[in-house]
Amino acid sequence: MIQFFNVSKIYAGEVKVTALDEVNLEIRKGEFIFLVGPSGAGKSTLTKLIIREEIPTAGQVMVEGKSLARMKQWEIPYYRRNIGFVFQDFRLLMTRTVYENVAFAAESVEMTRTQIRQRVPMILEMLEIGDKRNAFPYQLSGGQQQRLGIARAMVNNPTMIIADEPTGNLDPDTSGEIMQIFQAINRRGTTVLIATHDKDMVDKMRRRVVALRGGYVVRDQQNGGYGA
Amino acid sequence: MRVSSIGYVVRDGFRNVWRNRIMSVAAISTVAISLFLLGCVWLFIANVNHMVETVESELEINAYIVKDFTRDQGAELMRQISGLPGVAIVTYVPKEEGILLLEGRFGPEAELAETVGEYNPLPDVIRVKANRPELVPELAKKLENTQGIDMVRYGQGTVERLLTTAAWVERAGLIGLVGISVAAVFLISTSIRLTVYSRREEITIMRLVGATNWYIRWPFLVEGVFIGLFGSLLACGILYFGYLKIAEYLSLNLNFIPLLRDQTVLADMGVRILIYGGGLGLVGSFLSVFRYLRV
Repeated sequence: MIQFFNVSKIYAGEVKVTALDEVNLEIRKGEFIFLVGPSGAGKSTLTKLIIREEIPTAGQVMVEGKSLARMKQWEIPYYRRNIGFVFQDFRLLMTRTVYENVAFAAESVEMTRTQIRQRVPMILEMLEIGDKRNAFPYQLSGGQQQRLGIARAMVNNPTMIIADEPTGNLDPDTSGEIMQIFQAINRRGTTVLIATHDKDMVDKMRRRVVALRGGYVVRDQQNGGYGA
Repeated sequence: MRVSSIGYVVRDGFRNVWRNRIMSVAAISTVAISLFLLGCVWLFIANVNHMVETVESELEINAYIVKDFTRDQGAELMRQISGLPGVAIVTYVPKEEGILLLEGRFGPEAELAETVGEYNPLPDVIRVKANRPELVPELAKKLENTQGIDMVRYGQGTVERLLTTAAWVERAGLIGLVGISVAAVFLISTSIRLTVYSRREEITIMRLVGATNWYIRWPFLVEGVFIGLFGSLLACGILYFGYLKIAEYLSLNLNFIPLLRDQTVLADMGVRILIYGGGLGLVGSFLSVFRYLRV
């Protein structure tokens, strides 16, 4: 589904920063992958390359056999509709209700009113926040806020979910719940890529682990743990 | 963009204006002032043109006959003049009638005719109306060189003076208009830049979920057009009622000034102002959207 061929990303500035260095990686459809590594290892850069927020300095990122760098500007939004993005800090719209936060994403991809009226309540129920639909994000607990973040990412029925430290702001119990949600999503066939520092979670779940350090892939292991 | 999305875009554009109320009001007022100025210049020029037309249509030549001409010679002269090309109507005004006309201008209390009696100093006059106003200067010159004509008078310079004034007002108005339009565009674009800034979180989310660039841009462009249209509506309202008041006052007190009171002229101006205002808004928002909205 997604392939990295010798991908390097160098941020040119006063000081050149090599964020990724000749990375080779394949993400297959339906996989569940933890992307681990210390801060500055290149995790964010890797996710940005996948959503075509950045293009590689060298090498190729291919999606379904097509190079992302060669994708035309107008094609990018349509490509992104296949990917749901979940943030560490949730990035919810505080002045809009739970329902409106999800509907906002649906409107952005130009779903019809009828589609939105069907899809949004369904997603909210699936993430068990249907009873909070008229609440504002600040009235929710951290776990509920992240459920809302996931609901928003799911509204477009993406084939892949990318989460950047989704449990970084949550306590261990809530983190566990959120991870279970990701597993449930994955069981339905959606590819899940989670960049995380959550050692306990990675160790407990034993999924594929891709470890980055200083821009290199230092480990790519099935059923791996955080350390080894 | 889908047709069903137009509703969202318009609603969002309106919401943008409302969220940034203070800045929007500033931008709307500037647009209103600039378009008010445009309207004033427009109305002034339209009225001057109207006046020129009126004056031109009433333009006639007064040819004063030399004192020692007899009435018969005068009548012969009149026949001669009426044969000239471009002459429409010729009237003979003997001095007895002339003094009465003059008296009429000063009011009956003047009793001019009675006072001067036999010693009427006025000459007999032949009044000539041309087929077309632009023939008047040439015709006047011809009459001046005709034997028996002492002096020729027509509204020399009146039309020219009106047109010169109109040209000056137009020039000054246009310079002012350009300046204030630039200010309006600047304020609109600043207002939209602030909205872009205040909505940056939403824009990030929209980009990530896959909103098209134009779907993201449209509400900001709509916001600019709204600001422009609100401003022009305001200007139109003030111009319409203000102008009608002035026209009413002038028609009561200075009724020799022929002001335009045609509603279609005002409606035509209104439409132009709305288009211009919307255009200003669009230019302002384009500047901001393409400078500050990274999509």
